[in-house]
Amino acid sequence: MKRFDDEDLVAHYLHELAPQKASELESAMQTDPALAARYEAYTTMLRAYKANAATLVVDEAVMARNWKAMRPALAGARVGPSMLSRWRYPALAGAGLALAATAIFMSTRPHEGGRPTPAAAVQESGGPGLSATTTENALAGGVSMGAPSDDLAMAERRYAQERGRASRHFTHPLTAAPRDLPGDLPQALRLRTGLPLNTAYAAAPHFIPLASMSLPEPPTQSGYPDMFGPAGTAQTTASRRRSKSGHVRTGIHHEYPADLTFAMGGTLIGTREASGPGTEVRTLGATHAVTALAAFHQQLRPAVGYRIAVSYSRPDFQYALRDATTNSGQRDINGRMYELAATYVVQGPHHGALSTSVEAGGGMMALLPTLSSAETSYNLRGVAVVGVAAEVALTKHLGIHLGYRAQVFKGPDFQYSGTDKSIVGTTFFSNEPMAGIIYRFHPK
Amino acid sequence: MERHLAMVLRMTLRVTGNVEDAEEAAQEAFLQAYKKLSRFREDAAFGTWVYRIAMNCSLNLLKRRARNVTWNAESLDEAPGSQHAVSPQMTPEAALLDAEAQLERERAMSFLTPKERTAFVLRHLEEQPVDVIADALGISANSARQVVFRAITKLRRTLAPSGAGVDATVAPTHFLKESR
Repeated sequence: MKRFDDEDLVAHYLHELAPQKASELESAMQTDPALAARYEAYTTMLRAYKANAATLVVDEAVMARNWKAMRPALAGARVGPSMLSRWRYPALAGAGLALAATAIFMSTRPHEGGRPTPAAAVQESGGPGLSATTTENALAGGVSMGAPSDDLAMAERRYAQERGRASRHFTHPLTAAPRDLPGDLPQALRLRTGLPLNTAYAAAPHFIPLASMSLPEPPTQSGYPDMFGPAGTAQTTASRRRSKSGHVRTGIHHEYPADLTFAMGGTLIGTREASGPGTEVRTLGATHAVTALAAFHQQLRPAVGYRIAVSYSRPDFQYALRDATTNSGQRDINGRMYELAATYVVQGPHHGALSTSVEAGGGMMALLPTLSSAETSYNLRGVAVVGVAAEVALTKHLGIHLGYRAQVFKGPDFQYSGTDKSIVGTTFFSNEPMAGIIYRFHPK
Repeated sequence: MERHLAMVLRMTLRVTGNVEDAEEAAQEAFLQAYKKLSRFREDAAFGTWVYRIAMNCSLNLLKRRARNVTWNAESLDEAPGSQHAVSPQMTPEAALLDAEAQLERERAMSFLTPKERTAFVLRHLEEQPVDVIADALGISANSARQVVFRAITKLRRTLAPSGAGVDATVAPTHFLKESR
């Protein structure tokens, strides 16, 4: 005969037993008095509990007492803000990204009041030998600096060529393109800057878009005045440097100072444990999830750049509790992670079409439960971000972005009252390997 | 709101087992519901919504009490003379026996873990479906079912030696009043 344990008896009483097994149990009880007695003991006990519970009715006095106790608390409680749409945080992140990028972009534009003095500009551009008077005279073609007149004419033509090339290609915000300069260049600069004619005009080469145009090689043979030599040499060596193998190293970020990245990857969050009271151990982990990332990056100098990134992911956060006697299972909260972070970017080694960078910074992370619930709500967490990236230029605009980001943040509790604070207060690490495409502005 | 409060108080009393905790859990549930009122969706009944919040509040309160060994809230059922109404149909002897049986049953409940007690009360006394209990406990439906079975088996083992609970004749608990 088939044996039935106590759980079968209870399940039958609660109508949780499968129909076939239920009928087998009923048949068995008819032939087995002991089994029937066990079943009767359970049913009697459960009926007793239920009969007692069925008589509970809330007294009016109890109701009144509770309303009286609750009234001050309810009057002082603030009703939470209405839950906005799920696009709230992406929209805020996008707006913040656009605002920050615009602010930084605008703050780096040259303006008349903030334009550096010519001397400083010359020094800054690495041109110790650039003479304002020399430049003006050379450009004006009026005074020879000891060079033959043919060489001077050649220099003028060369300048005109460079000016034309720059006008066609250059749009860098840090400089003033020659095409913007009026015909009467010396006079216009003098009027606009308030500087003496010679000095003001000397600033013109500094604002020529050296970073995005090919410049003449230093005049080692021609002997004509070195109009572009100092600044041009500095930039050229920064952006075009031959490697040991003979390849031309190209400072991609330097030549393409701004880009947009769209990448997909994974969010891999480690599991953390925390000891609770007694033998309790609480763990919090998360499932692996796909992550989407969009970022704007601008490299002002090889060692000075920034990236503003927004990312989105949907991991399940898993809270579990166990002690010496029980494993009480776990609660899963399906969450959405939005991140807005700003990082400082330093350009790393680059070779040919390959460029690298490292970044570090911080931002904010919003963690929301996917399903709205009365018991759960969102968390805002500060997040520290570090990362490395490698980019391979495919065309003048597009490239492949490969990156790795690590995030450090405090675990979320989704404002769920049942979540133990000892575990959500611990620090979590999230690993984000990424791959995507990069779009560069200002093609060469 | 009054009928919701009554329903919630009944449930919190059954889960927590004493008036103070029951009222505390119920008040906390209503306060949470009020704070999160903007998230309440019209497609669900308000009573069901606040009831579910109260389930969580009761369970959390039980867990806190289980950890805090210094907590010594007196259960209503431990003072049968003052807290239990005596049915006018019962003789004094029967009433005394019934009160003792009820006290034994409540004592057996105290051996359950917070999760087992909550699961048992919600399933057997409140007649909530297993998936609702599973959601309240944060476990799967199958695990919730097992917790209920385990709780009942444990109650039976606790009550079996003394035979308490065999007598199904009971008097109403009077945290509340008699329904008849």
